Amino acid sequence: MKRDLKRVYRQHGIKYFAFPAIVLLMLAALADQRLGGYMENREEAADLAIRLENNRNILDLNSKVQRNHDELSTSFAPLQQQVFVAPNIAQAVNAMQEQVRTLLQSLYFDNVEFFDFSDTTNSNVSRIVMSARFTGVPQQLPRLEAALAQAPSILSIDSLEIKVVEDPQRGGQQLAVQARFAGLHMKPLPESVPTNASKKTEVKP
Amino acid sequence: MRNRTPSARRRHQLVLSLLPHGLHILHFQRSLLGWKRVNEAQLPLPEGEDFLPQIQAQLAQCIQQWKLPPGARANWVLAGDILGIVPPSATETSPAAALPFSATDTRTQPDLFSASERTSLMWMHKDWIAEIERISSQCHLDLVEIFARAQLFQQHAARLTGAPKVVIEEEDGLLILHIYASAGMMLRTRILNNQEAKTLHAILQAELAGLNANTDRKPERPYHLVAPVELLANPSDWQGFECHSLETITQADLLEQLWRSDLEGIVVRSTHEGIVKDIKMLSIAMGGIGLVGLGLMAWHDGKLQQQIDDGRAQARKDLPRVEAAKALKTHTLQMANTVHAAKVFRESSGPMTAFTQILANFPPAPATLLYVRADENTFAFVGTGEEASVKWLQERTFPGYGPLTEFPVPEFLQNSNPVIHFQSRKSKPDAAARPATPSPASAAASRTATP
Repeated sequence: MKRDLKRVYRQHGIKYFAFPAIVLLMLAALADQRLGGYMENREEAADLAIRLENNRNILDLNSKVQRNHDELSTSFAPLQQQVFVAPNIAQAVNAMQEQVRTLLQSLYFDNVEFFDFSDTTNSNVSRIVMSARFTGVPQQLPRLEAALAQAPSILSIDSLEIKVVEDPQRGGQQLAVQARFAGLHMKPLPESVPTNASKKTEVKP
Repeated sequence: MRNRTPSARRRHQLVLSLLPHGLHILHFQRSLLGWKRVNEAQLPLPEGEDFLPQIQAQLAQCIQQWKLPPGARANWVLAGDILGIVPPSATETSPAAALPFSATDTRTQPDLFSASERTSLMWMHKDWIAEIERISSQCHLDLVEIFARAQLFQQHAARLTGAPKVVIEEEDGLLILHIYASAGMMLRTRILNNQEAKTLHAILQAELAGLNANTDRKPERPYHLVAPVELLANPSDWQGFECHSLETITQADLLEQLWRSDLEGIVVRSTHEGIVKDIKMLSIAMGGIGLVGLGLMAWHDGKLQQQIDDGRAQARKDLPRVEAAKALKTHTLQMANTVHAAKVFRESSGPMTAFTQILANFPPAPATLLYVRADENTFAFVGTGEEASVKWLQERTFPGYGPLTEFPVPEFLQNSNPVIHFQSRKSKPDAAARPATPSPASAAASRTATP
């Protein structure tokens, strides 16, 4: 009751009222010394638990990944020879340009020139595209299709424009062809990895 | 069955207001939400020698009915006929000198309502205290404090500032007079008998004159008079007073307000040491709980540290295998991407297919192909020929493509007057499934314009 509090204050001053505050202050001082470290440890333990859980998931999934890897290897091994593997696009474009040039020249197309290079990247594989102008006769075109199908790298023609033009050197007419060639570029894959990671791990909670 | 534990005793308190004609009892009980009024009784009392035994009998009956534990605390509120007030003296003499009995025969308590150096004195004869104590103990109550009835209105009166105040209350047909100083200190309290009630103004003037003589002080402003409305019906009866009607508050509410307030009466049994004990216990409990909490925190901290050490060791142990697994995953994903990209690349039928179809379906000479344009979804071609060539073409189908439509002749071919100028767009897959019998591409190739 209020009057009892008044009497305590009149008789003893703030002595007894200060007791709980002093106790609280002492507890706060003690807690302050340990609370920072405790909270850090809690946080670190929680982070570590998440990391170990992630590791465990990764290792648990590894056998499945290994199976997929083995399955894909049969398709991927020949494919690796058919795409332009280079650390950057520029090198891949140069390689593709040389290959297309060689191919066109081997089919006796004349006046081969390249222009308008571009690429579209999707994850680690890029589609590289380049336009080429060249001249030839109609019989060469089916051979070009066959040659593209047999080329060491995967190559295709995205667009084609053929005009009949005069042939000033030989007289008569010839075909002026503008074709847009496409190929695939892939960055070199990292070295093959050891496959002993699928062993189960024991993670302490 | 009554609960006789000390904690049960501390959870009940009674407030008893005694007047010549009746006893008003309030019963308070403490719960988690604080003190709450749980019972109330208004008991009539006979006058005469049977007065005190009747108080005890009626009180005992109430206590039994309410099942109060023995030792519950009792606070009494007594009127001026039992608990008197001695106003502060104008001289330096102690107000105790003005007591009608010897100081050793009375119990006194200064009115500490205002922080004045000279305070009035509540007093009570020890015989009365003994009688109240006896009644209380006979009823298994602990008498703790006795209040003056004037204290019921002390805080209300103190709100009127400036001049001394007079409060006249009416209870059970009795008029009771209370006089307070400007600051609210009690100066006088008394019950008016029937005769006095008829000459109220004169009695009041006499009381005030006596007080003024005693305190040697004349009021600078008219007295505030607080009384029931019916007493103030004729203002001309109260010249020299500033009249205020008394708020209609029930007796029980007034008693509860006094009991809950910090106003102090004559202390018979000190209770505030209980508060000291409670504060000490609270401090010890807080300290104990806090230390236990800190101990638990320290214990858990040790466990966490151990957990962190084990976790780090496990993570270090797993690291090579996890890195290898991650690399394998990346490798596999890249392989899958490449295989998928190559599949999509191969599936896209290029413009060479369209070109082959154009050549295969092109009409025989004299029709001549002048221009071909093809991309992934469309093709167009322009050539010279006859009406029969156009009809030939319109009868042909291009597998995977829709019907031929007119193609605007490019400007550079306008001079050639081409009759054949068609275009088409890739059709839906079901249309693509129709059979076609194109003639060999190599044969058609010879019909393009060449030397």
